[in-house]
Amino acid sequence: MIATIMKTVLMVNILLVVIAYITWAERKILGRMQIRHGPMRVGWHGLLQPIADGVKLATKELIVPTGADSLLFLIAPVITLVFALVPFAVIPFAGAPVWQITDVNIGLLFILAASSLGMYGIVIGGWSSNSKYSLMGALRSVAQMISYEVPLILALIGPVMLSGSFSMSKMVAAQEQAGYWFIFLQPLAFVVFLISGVAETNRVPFDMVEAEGELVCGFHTEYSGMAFSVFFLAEYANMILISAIATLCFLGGWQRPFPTVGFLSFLDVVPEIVWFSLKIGFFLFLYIWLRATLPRIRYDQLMYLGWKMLLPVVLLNIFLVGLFKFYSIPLLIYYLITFFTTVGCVAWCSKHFYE
Amino acid sequence: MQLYFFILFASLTIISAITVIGSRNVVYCTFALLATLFNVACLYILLGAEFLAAIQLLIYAGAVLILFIFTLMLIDVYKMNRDEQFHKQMRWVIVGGVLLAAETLVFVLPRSKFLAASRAATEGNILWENNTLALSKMLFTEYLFSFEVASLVLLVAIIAAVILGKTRISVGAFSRQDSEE
Repeated sequence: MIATIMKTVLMVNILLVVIAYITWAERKILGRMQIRHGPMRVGWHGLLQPIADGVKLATKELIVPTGADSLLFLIAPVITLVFALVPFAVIPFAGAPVWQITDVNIGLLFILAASSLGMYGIVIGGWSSNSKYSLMGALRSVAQMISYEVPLILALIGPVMLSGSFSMSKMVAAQEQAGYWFIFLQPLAFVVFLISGVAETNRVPFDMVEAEGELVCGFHTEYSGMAFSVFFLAEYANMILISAIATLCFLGGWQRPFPTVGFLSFLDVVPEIVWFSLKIGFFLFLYIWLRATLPRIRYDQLMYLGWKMLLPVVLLNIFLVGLFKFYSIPLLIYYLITFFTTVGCVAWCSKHFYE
Repeated sequence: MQLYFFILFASLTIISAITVIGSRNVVYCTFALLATLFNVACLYILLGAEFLAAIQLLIYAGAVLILFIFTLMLIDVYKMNRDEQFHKQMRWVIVGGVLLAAETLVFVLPRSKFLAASRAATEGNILWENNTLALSKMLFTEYLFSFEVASLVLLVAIIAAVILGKTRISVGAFSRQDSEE
């Protein structure tokens, strides 16, 4: 009981520090990609910049706009942050049970249910601000999150079918037992999960929500100071969460690369938590990379992509995994089938996207 | 421990359920409904039905209620509050509600077999281990037919919704053709 509470407190604090340094990394990487330095002045290469930003945001005045519903206005960022942090209770960070707060047998469903409640923070914040920009931003974000939740959940059905469990640690155990990561069996689901994960967290190129050219800042236009930074923290916590789910369900969690290949066993000296962090770090880098590279897509393109491309593709993936499970197709043939279907689907989607 | 949690969640459920029907502000009502669903899900977890709790949050809170809010956000809520349209029936509603509750508690519940039957069915039968697995086994073997029928009905409803939603567009298309001719 006491150990669990201590673990929870520790993890929330570690997460918040990590989030602070992700913002630093984001500014550094974006700067490098745009041939500039990024933050340099506060500390060595700007390493103390997140702390300075935190102090700045915490000491700013929190303004409640005229005509806003002040109770809902102040409660909205709290709801968003709470439901962004709650799912981490069932995420295992390494093999031993010490590295997980609790292992429930509906782990994946718990994560999805809790993070779908996080949407209400955005809705409440957008509605209670009494501002047209906020309301439009909230409407758009809800439409987008509902649309992309469907392919996101259906993409996770594949790993659940293969492992036969909703528990996150059993998911990794199934990959360990099978000897291959699930990404090789269902690259289709992995691609769909990545795309809809970026859309779920409202990041570029799906940041319709805060399209600053038309909506100022979306649902958090009216927020200032600490309330704004709480929304910000929640967004980054959601990014880490999506990265962690992708790692656990598709990339073998805390296992080293190629866990069955014998001559790579010298890699086992690296602790499991480091492998897990490296994989999460790769996905976070991907987020920032996308932000530096891609322009925002149009709203109708976003809906078209979600409902008419990702949804059929992910249903095809479920069908293929079902075939593999039911007829026990040889692994090599199945690899070839999935490889060619993935190439075909990507080609089909990119051909029809701009129509 | 479990009793205290039950008291907490049950009283929160009742408070938020009263807010759902009592509040004048429609948006507050919807959020109170969300709180009710959440607390009922917590009660499900206390009963050992964690799959049901997760599905309740995922479907009702995550999808159905958000569509309510979607509609409500586009209504001028403050104008609705100014209209005095909820007042007049209040005392009759209270009288009727008390009568119905008394009828249920005094006449219906003591004679029904529901309480005893549900107690007999749940005692000792709760699967604390993995009720997701047990549920899916039941659903896909014993109740397969009704499951398929339910999904067929839902499919029909989806097609009907699409046709109803699309009608206006096709009418517009026809009228444009007519005007061109």
